[in-house]
Amino acid sequence: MSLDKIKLDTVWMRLVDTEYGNDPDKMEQAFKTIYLEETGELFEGDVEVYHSSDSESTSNFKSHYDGTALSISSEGEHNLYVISQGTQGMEDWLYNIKGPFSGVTVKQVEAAKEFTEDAKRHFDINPEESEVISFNHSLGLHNSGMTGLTEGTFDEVYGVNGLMVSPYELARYDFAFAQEINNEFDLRNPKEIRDIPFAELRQFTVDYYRDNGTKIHNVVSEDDPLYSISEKFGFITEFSDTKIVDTNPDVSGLKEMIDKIPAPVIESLRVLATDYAEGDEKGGFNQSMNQLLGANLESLDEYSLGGAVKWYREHPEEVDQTISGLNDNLPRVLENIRLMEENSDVIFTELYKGGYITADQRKVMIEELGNLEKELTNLQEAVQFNVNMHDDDGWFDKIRRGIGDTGLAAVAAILYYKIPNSLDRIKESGTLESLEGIVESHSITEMLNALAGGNRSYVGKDLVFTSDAGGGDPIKVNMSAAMRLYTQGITSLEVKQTLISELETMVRDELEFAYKDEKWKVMREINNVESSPRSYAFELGQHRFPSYKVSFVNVHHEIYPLEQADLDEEIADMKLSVDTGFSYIENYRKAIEELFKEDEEVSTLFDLSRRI
Amino acid sequence: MRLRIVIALILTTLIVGGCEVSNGDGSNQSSGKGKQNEVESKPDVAAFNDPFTEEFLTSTKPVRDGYYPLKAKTGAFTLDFPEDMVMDDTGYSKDSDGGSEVIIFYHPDNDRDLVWSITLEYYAFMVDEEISKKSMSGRFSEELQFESLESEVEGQKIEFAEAKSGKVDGVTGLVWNDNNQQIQFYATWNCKDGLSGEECAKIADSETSGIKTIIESIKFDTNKSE
Repeated sequence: MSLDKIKLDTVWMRLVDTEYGNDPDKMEQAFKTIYLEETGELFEGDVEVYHSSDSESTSNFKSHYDGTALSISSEGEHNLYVISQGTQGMEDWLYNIKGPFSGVTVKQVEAAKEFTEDAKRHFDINPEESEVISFNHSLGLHNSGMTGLTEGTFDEVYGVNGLMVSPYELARYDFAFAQEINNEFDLRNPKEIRDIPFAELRQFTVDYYRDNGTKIHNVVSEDDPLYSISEKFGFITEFSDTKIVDTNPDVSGLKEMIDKIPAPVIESLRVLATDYAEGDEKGGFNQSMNQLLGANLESLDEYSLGGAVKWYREHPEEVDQTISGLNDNLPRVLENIRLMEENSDVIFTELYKGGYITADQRKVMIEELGNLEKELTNLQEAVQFNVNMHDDDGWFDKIRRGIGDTGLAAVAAILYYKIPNSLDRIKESGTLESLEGIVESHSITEMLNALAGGNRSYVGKDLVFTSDAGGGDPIKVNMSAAMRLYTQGITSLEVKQTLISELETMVRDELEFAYKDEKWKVMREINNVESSPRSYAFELGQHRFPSYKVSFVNVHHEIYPLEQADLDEEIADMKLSVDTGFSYIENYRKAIEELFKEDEEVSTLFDLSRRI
Repeated sequence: MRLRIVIALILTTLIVGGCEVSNGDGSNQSSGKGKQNEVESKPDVAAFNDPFTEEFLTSTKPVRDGYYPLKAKTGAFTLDFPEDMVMDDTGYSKDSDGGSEVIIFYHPDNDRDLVWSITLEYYAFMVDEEISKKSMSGRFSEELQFESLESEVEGQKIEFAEAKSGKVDGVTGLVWNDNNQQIQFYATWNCKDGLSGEECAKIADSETSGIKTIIESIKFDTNKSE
């Protein structure tokens, strides 16, 4: 049995998906189940699992790395497969994608390398004879790709919706490469790398790492937002052979759409999306607005003039914070919103044409972005007026400040009425929900479904078969769950059967044998008394009648038969329940086999699943 | 109606006495004059002339000749920053939980015969310095030979290594303590065209001692460890 089938897309992608469950004890079983479901064959080789939490040297990177290594051998072949998780959320990556290579990211790259080296030692892997292969999703590909390219950690790296690497990061990580760039482009400081025309830098980078010996494969959804945006920010896809898959046929490709929107607008969208996402994670919508605008929208419960005056009089520190926050944050937000507003027709028309939003949503978004831009401009003017009136010292100071503070009513009105009004209309239009599908295209499940052929599909981590038997609507059967039910059901019924046999034996031992034993003991004692009556003279009370002697004893004792002591009926009931259980499970299996009677594989799957 | 609002607000304002705008760092900035004074007394050196670098410098008084005190934005460490270097704002990063901070600084004066670029990576979660030394060797593409440097700070250890393979022109330093705090310090140099390898190595040698003093000046704030 060759190990090649482990590299089938559906096998390794499901393995990666399972690894996210962080349950190393179940990885061996999960591997064998996935292998069976995807190849129709039982994996009869050896599988050993090593988790990063057991690796002492990887613990140097404390909680910043999670990975699982599988040592798999069969018929003389022995390979190491390493699955690395990327621990940052997507919003963190939208920050990082611009260029800075964060400290945690660098450590994840080093941890992926150290864990792989430790796993090689743990499983005694000889690199001359065995392949070291890395399986990844999303950011995992970036981390494994970095150490693969720069340090030759892996022979092959596989990724699904994987983020590639950028030359700027490579120059930050690999100092030998940075030196070559300096020499080639005559750079004198690290900032000058940004002045090199990107096409030239990309070509130089690809050439530099061309012969590094690591093969990178990336299977990407054409609707994956991370991939679509990453190319725009200088991530190189030429390192890998990239297979593009249309995972969401209802919409046209996101990348194609993003390519039509000017780069600065994409950058604005990125900035707004990351601020919003970070705030949203911390505390929902209000926190998102706080993050974006630097102002707390909950300062006043509802907008009213009385509220504004009260707010000003009773909570001067909140007023200070709000004005200061707005003063710091507004220019950047306004600049981004303005850029988006100027391009809102292109953005939302493309999203509409792409099938992501409806015509009504497009209209609302264009109108409300216009309103937001107008109100934010007013807000900035009002804030600036207040700040300017405060920004001086002198005898006129207090009066100037007082006049400046009159503008607070305008600030409050815009903050508590006009902006939320626009945002409410956006929320009510359902646009944000419509755009959630974009994130779904980054998932492994959507990719697996796009790759699945025939009647196969996936729900979560499970394989689903669809049958058209019987006319009507197609019937979907979760095969993974069915096989779990079948094997676990059969196993638990077998356990029950064993327990019933043990009970039967115990009833016989404890009741029948004990009765016979006790009966025999009584009979023996009667015999003793009757055969040697004088030995029992005292117990028979001879001393109370001194003139008499015991000459013989005749014991009158009746031993009743053991009645109602059998559990035959109960045991029969138990056996019947097991038999019924078996027949239920077998009927369940037959019903599924009947649904897929043209698919012999189903029957084989059931048979083989019991042998895992 | 609008007039009444304005009058009400002006009256309230006069009673309260005006509010001041906080500039966000705890100090009040009711006028720009204080700031102006600072600007006037600011040393005319590259570090203070670069606004991004200036954000990290805590005093306009040098700690020693040619060096000013720098405090990281995580607050986790301080060091003596050379006056003739500036930070690369595009390469700066800090994790939101304070677990790491990356600072890159360099000589902005391209007329210098030799310019240094320094990548300083701070981590609050590194347990084993031997593994870190292996990673550092990997980044320099050679097996680095580390030697100990004297540390003036109690509980802190320093090791230093020079690249010898020729793949990277540079030196590295590792500073750590028992609180899992660690700084990996990578300094690479680049010579002006026209200088021979020998001349270049000679300048690098003479300037390496200055780089070492930056590494030796690092002090962790142990309250910021994870």
